[in-house]
Order: sequence, then structure tokens, then C-alpha cells
Amino acid sequence: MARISLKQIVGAQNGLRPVVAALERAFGGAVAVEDTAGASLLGTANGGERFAVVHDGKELGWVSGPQGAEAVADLLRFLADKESERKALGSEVLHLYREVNLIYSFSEKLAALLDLERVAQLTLQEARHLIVATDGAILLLDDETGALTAAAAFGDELPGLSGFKRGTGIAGTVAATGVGEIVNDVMGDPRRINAVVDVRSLVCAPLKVGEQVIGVMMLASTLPMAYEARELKLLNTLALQTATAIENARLFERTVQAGHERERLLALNKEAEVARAGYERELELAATIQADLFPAQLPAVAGYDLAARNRPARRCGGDYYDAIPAGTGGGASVLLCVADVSGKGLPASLLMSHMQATLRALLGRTASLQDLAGHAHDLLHGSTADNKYVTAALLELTPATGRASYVSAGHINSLVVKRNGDVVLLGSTGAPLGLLPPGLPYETTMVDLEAGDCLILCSDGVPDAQNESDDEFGESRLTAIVRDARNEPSAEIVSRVFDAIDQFAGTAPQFDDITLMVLRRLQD
Amino acid sequence: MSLKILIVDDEVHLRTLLHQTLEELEDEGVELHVATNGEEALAAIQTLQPNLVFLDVMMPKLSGFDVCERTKKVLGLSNVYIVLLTAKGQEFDRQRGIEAGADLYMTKPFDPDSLLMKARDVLGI
Repeated sequence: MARISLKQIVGAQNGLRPVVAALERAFGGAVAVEDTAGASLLGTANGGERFAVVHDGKELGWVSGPQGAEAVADLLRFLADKESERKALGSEVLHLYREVNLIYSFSEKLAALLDLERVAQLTLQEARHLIVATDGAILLLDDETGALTAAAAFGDELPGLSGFKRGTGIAGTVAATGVGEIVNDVMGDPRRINAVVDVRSLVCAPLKVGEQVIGVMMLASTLPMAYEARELKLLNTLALQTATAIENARLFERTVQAGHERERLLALNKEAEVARAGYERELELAATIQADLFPAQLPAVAGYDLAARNRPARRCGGDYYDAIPAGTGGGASVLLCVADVSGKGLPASLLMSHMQATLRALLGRTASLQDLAGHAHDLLHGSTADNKYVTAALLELTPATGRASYVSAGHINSLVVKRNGDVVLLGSTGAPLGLLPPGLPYETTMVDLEAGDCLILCSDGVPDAQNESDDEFGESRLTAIVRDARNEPSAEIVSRVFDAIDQFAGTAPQFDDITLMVLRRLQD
Repeated sequence: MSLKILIVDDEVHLRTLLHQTLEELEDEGVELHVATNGEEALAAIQTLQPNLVFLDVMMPKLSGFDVCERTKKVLGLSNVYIVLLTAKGQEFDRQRGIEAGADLYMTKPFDPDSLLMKARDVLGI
């Protein structure tokens, strides 16, 4: 603050001269004022008595003149005191102005920040413009654990400290009560948690959002310092804005993270979609390959009408049928086969293609149908897991005579509907292929197909087809339909059975692969 | 001859603040003078021939722009360094200030430290 000078007072007060002039007339003598250096401020030194102008314990100058001139010295002293008061007021006003400016500029700078640490750093930086401190920190509260962790700190002592917790120590108390504090004798405060610390005074304000405390802000000094109420007030004002900005920064960060998470999930979803589409294509391809494994065209057998149809439950199925001109024991014959792999879908279809390859490879290389079955079993057993097996109904027909050998590896009954309507059941003649250890024999059943007879080979998907009430289609329904239609073309019989199954099933989805083969010996 | 600063503002609290900010210069021999309106300002400028003038823009009757223009162009006192003070948000006046011949433009609220530093800079102390 500028010193009070007599020159200023005398010079500034333009109204002083007329007053002094009037007093001179009243005293009847000249009045002169000079400063401590002896320079003349008013009038000229006249050798009269000198009276000191004393202000705040110091001499500002002299008044010389007649007896009453002392009053002028008193007047000047009064004016000096008033000037002093005015300056003090001016200084106070300026300080307040600085505070207002700070808050204003702080507000502007804060509005631009969304980063939590930068908010904390800016706050401490700005606070130091008006509050003298050697150390400072902004601690944020973890609501669950009560721990107070520094988001920003400066100085020699505070940054190295840890262990701040709600409820303990000075900062912790402020965090718990939500009320700011000034402690000018930190060393002597019983709440002090860090024993070996050089901090002498501190001022601490809570950071609050509404009524909830989210942290504390403190400025401290390792040098002797007495913080005052106005500093706590300023800190509280800054704290208000900082708390809001920190909340905003956190919300922003959560939003950003949520955005990233969403992006990540969308990307994963997209990947999954792409993978799924890939599998779809592969499955389609597998289904196509499998479809190609079925005979494109059934062989024409003179004197017979042969038809077959397969409908898998899923894209790929575990059922198979085949009709191959063959001759296991020499001579023209035709081999019919319907097989069913344990399981469904792609895994079953893989095994089925393996079965088909095995069968066709063995064709012509075995002495009899049961040897064929036996070898197929051995091969299948050796190359598949224990729980994978195939049931199969194999029939080798000599078309000219109508005589056929029948081997069933654990397959469901095949039927022969005779011309007169009687039904002959052909049951299993051995274990499913690949199930039991190798070397087990298969039996053969001999069958005679006469003109007008109808042979049905199918997979268990036919009798096992279910409706919504879990009732099964059953062998008897199949038999009834075939018996009724036994004089119709084989393709017609196949269609009628499939239609009947669909009608029976109603809205129930197809659970198992359905395969049906119909061979009719034509009437002459 | 001592250095002189003239403070011109029609609002008393701003005059006080500006005076208070520059007060320490008084100890260094600088004279601080005050005018409360445009007419007073022109008279003071002619009489005192100050080195530096802090001139508020928004004043009744004679605005800061007018005072500046008359000082620089009519009176031809190009050695007088004129700082125009204007409220924030009125920055479009900046162009007008340049045309009026102002040496510097400062927005209120002013930063006391910057103002003092600028004064020292202009006065060379």
C-alpha cells in the first residue's frame, strides 16, 4: 500500500488552501507546511513555531505559524487518517475485485474441461492466485470405502501423503461433516493423522454436489501462516464450481465408456453375425454335398416299381437310402439299403457319408450280404466313437425270381405287404453297425417277393413321427396306408405316407429324419 | 517532469479500482489523475498532457471513442497512449476503437495485474 504523504494530502485537497488562507486571517499570521525533507508544500517557512503532523506514529511533516497553527497540524493529521482509511477501503475493493475476476475466469476455464484430473489441477492453480500456499491437494472420496485419494496435488509435503480417510484427520473430518475448516496450528491439532509432516496451517473446503460430499480441497503452508475466514469463503466458492465440474467429468467419462462398450458389443455382434453367416453357408454346402450322395436316380429294375424319399429334420440328416445294381454272389441283383445314424444334423450326416462310402467300397468284394454287413460293422466300429453307430436294413434282390436276402443291423421292422393284404414283418438280424465289438455275425432272412407284393424299408422317423400331444404315428398307421395303396405306383405310396405323417404331426415340428423306400413287384 | 496517468470513467467504483491498481506507481513518482466524464477528460488531457490514459468507452454525452478521436486527430496528441476500456461482449467496438486511433483495447472486468504491467510497460518503468 502506498505511503501517505503530506504532499499528496495538501495537493489533493484543493479546498485546503482557502481554508488555510481563512485561518491565516483568523490567526493573524502566515501558515506554512513543509514535509520531512524540508520541502515547502504550502506557503513559505516563516520561522514561527513548528508543530508536527503525526500519523500512524510517524511524522509526515511540519506546520509552522502563529499560536493557532497547531490546529492546522491537527487538521492535516485528521485528513491523513481519512486518506489512510480511503486507501484501505480502496485496497479492500481491489482485493474483492480480484476475487470476482478469479471466479469469473475460473468459471470460463472450467467450462472447457471434461477431464477430471485437469479440472483438479486447474482449480489448485487458480486458487493459488489469491491464496498463499506451499502445498495443496484435491482429494476425491470413494463412497464405499471412505478412502480419500488425490486427484491433484502440489508442494513438498502433501503429494507424498496417503491414508486420508473420511472421519479421520482434518481432511477426513471435513469430508464427513461437509463443513470447511481453517486450522492454523496443524501440529497441535489432535486429529492430525500424519505425524511427521511439516504442514503448519491449512484451509480445507468440502466438494459437494447438492448435499453429498464427493471430496475435499485443501491449501496448506509449511511456513507460518494464518488463514482467514475470507480465504475459506473463497475456497468454498471455488469448491462449488469444481465439484460440479468433477461430477460432469465423471458423467462424461461414464458416457464415453458406455459408448465404447456399446461399440465393442456391436463389433462382437457383427463378428458373431459374420461367423454365423459363414456357418450357414458351410451348412448349406454340406447339405448340398449330402444331397448329392443320395442316388440321383434310382435304378430301373425290370418288373419292379421303385421309389424313395428322404427328408431330414435339419439341414443335414443322419438317414440314408441307396439302390445299387450289385451281385455279391455273382449274377444280376440289386442292393437296397435304408440306414439311420445315431444322432441328427451335421455330425450324423458326416457319419452317414462315411457309411455310404464304406458300403459302396465293399460292394462286389464280399461273398454274401451278411458278410457285407459284418465287414461294414468292423470298419465302422474301428473308425468311429463308441457311441456312434448305424442301423441299416439291407436287401439283395434277384429281380428275375423275386427272391431276396435280408439283413437288418438293429434296424426297425421292414414290411412286406402281400398282394392279398397280409403283412409280413422283417425284424432285426444283428446288432447295429459299429456298436458292439467286431467279429459278431449277422443272420440273413430270406424273402420272396411275388407279383403285387409291396416292400417297405424306412427309418424310425416314420413310425416315431409325433404330433402336438406327443402321440406317435406308429407302424400300424404306416401299414394301413400302404395296404390301401398297394396297387398304386410306388411314388404315390411314398407321397401318401409323407402327407399322412404331415397331417398327423400338425403343428409339431419334424423331430427326426424321415426316410421311406417302396419297392413293388409289378403284376404281369 | 513526472509521468502522468489519467483515469477516465463515469462509475466511481471503477475509478477507485483503477486508481487502487495503479497506486503503487505513485510511490515511484507517477501522478495519478482522475476525470469523471468525457468533457473533463478532454480538458485534463489538454492541461496535463498525460503519458497514459485509461478511457472508459461507455460514458454519457461524450463517449470514450469521441475523446480518443479528438485527442489523436483534432488535438494531434499522438504521444498520449490511450487504452480503451469496454465491457465484455462489446468486442465489435474494437474496430471502431482502431478507427478512433486507440493504442490498446481492454475488456472489463480487467485483470489488475495485467493492467499494472501494461502501465509500467508504456511508461517504461
